[in-house]
Amino acid sequence: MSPILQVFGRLHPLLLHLPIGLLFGALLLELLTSMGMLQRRAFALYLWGAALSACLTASAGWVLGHEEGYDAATLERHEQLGIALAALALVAALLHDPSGRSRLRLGLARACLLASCAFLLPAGHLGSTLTHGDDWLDGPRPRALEVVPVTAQVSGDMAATVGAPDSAAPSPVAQPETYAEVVAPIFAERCARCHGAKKHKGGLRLDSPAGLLAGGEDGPVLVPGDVAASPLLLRARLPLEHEDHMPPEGKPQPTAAELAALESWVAAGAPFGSASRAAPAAAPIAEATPVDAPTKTEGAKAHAEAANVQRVAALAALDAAFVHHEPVQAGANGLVLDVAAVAPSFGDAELERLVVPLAADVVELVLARSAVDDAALSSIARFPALVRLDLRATQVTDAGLAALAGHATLAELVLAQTKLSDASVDVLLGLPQLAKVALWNSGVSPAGLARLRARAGLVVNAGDEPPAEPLESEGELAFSSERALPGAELVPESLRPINATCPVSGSPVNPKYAVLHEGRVIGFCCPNCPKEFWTDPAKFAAKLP
Amino acid sequence: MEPTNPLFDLGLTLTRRRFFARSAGTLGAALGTSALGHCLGLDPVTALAPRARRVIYMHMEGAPSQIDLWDHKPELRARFNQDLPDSIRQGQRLTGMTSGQTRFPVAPSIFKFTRYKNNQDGVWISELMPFTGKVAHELCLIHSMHTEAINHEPGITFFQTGNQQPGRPSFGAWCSYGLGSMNQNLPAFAVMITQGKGNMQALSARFWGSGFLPSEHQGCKLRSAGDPVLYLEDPPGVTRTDRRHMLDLVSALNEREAERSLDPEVRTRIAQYEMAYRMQMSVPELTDFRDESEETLALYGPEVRTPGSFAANCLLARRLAERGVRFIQLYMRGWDQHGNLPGEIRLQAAAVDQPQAALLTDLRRRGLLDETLVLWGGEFGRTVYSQGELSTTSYGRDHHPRCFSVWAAGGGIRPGVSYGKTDEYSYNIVENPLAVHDLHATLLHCLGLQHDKLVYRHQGRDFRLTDVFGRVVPELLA
Repeated sequence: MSPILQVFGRLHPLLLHLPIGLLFGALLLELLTSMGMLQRRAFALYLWGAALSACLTASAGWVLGHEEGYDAATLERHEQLGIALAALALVAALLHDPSGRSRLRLGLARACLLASCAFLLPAGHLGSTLTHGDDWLDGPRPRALEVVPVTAQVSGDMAATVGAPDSAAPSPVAQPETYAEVVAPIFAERCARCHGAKKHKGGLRLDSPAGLLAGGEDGPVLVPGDVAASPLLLRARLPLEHEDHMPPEGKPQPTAAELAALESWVAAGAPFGSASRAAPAAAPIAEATPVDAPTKTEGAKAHAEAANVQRVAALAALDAAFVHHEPVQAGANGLVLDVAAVAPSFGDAELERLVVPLAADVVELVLARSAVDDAALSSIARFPALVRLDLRATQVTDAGLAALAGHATLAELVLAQTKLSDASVDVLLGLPQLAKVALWNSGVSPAGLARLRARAGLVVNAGDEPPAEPLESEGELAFSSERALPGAELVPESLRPINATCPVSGSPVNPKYAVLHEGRVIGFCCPNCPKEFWTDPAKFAAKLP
Repeated sequence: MEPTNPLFDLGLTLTRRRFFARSAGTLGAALGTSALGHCLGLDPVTALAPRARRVIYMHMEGAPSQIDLWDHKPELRARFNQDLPDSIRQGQRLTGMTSGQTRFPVAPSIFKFTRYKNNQDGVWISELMPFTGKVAHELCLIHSMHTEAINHEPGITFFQTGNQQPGRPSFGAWCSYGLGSMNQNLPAFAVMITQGKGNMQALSARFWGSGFLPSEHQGCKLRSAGDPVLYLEDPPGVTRTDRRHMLDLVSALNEREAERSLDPEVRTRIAQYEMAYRMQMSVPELTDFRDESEETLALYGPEVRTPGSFAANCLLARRLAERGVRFIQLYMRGWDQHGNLPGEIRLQAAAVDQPQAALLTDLRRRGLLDETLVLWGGEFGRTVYSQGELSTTSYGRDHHPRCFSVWAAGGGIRPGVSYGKTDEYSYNIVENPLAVHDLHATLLHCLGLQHDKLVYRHQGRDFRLTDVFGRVVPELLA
């Protein structure tokens, strides 16, 4: 399409306001004219203006309609109505009799004008649907109305932890429909006006799992699990003024939190939850469009997805409770959990509610200074991957520790400042992987410690280790300049001065300044002293060895 | 803390009123956490299994003399007052304070050294550090540190930020950025300062600044006198509920602004307000030593009850460490001994020796040392030649960047070893030189961070703590 034509097409949204105003105005003026308040010739001129503006708008619209990926059915109806109303307006202008003598022509012109105006309404509505989305007229709905029920559905984990961390929360393993409840609404609000049901610019639709996975003209937009390879997210992170930034400058932008949510969803493998299997009732957008997404996510894959969603929910619950978690290593599922921020109020109930759901992944668990006691240990004993457990300064006793007996993976235990006794020594010795244990102020006796230390490969820290042993100490220090001055050793033996002090000044000899006298090398402190020496060598003989 | 779940955070922003009605919120928490982590798909940064989870960095401001503390040179005693040979000096640059001296007389240390057992053939440590000697088996003593700066300000800036010019984020800020906080009730990066007994130099707040990183990563200075954090207490007549209401309103307004401007600093501000609110509860508990046993207090030495002393700050450092603070920076001022070194260094060493040894012991017995990386060192070393008058009881030493000693201990560091050698004058390095960037790279490695991947894009390029340098030194690693 030639650029001039394209510009013409894009004038459509501007031009269309002319016929809307002029045609409805024509109806009013026709009334005034027939009442004799306006010259019919003047009205004829006006009617021509209205008709021509309608034709111009229709042709611009027709050009524009060729350009972008609008929803075909809506566009077709819009075009039909638009062309029809322009044609009717033109016919009205042609039939109109400026002299006012032909009643028939006047009647037909009026009918055409009325029909043209009647067509304006649906044409205009379809036009607004194309540009603003199909919820344009009945929107704007208050945002809270959309959100609150969604959050309520999340119940169990997210909502419970937000609202009432202290209340006895329902089972945290309900499955929040992350896609339907969080992700889809973001796409619906920020993207779907141009990449939705009515308009799919760039051949891209972001209002359904199928559309998201299919991508657009330029290829896929999402790579599940790889944020950095997903053009959709990369474009959203570009600077606002960047040519490729999406949504385009001037359109409503996603908030930072929304972007972060999308990224985390993609990083988690972009799970669609049940949206990929059936259209969920809860998600208005997914509902509005038939889901032709891949339906093969059954069996193992679906199971993994569900587990992932549970994990995300459980981690969110940890965040809400201020329990620190980090992966033992990037990309690994294994977790380090640390309750330091809330230790004094973290008891067995919190452990059960927050940590047990993640039991399979906990590799390192720091409960130091917390309120957990023996009951917690029977839960912890069932953590299959636990390697390091810190129970320092807790109320655990021998009875609790016994639950850990034989744990297959525990390699490090911190039990300092606890109320154990030697009864726990056998439990510790029975842990096959145990490599390190801290027992300072734990109640384990020196004899018990000795038994533990006897085991090869087990490091025991109990605060009773001897300090680093002094091997030797320096005695009284002597300072001297006895050694020859630096550089002296470079002087050949044959040129080494026989004297250490300058015979003229009494200062130390610098071997650089030496003379040969009576077969002996005599040294001086500076270049001036030899001159003095040569005036009367005998005078200085007494000062030489 | 690793980044919290953004899906969850979004849910919170959407139900903000409910969220802010709670006494403690996660939005602020979430915003105050690592901006970097795996939510941005930048996982390779933390691709190494971390050995240390936190850092305690004891910076000895003013540059302690390696010759009198760590770098044992007994043969110098036979060269007392001799001129420093040109073959050693090699015409290297001196500061303006001694470049005009007519001679550079060798000043051997007047302090006796003791050889302590370690995991090699023992390590010589000065009589000024008797307590530290007793934990020699924990230390990795590096004799071959060198730097590019010769004056304090650029020297500290270089050690703290990896660059001599100001403006880059400090080491602690990088750690906060790369690893996040482990305790949402306390800052991820805390700074404590002890006033020295000797000549002190200025200590700018930008040494713990966040540079171009989001400002939530800057160090939070805990004050030694009065309130540890200023304005933390509500003024008379303001209840905690009032405060909550005020913060709710301000946060709501700020949130509106954040959504409008997309400026991350607005969210930083929200996060800081929320953290300050929580710190009103967490800080008084943190600084209250009443739950420490007499035995523990005695371990840190007689000064432990004096707020702001190095002993008190070391104990506070341990308390911060066990509460999950990621980076704890201690400054001991007053090591700049240009004259009367023997007198001043005695006081300085006495102030730090017992507390720093106690900190290592205390961390060890509580099972924390293997997860805590402890670093001790100044910004450069001091010269072997005397600045000013030299006698067997008094001398001074000028700045010396060519070689000096630092030590590290704990998480991921090889214990009980020495690394690097200097020449017989402790003037040049003859074996295994260690550059500041190499030290940084190695320490980041211990924290599970790849120094060349921990980057932040600013002014069109990626910046790192190690600039374009840095080498992980395997000999220092456990």
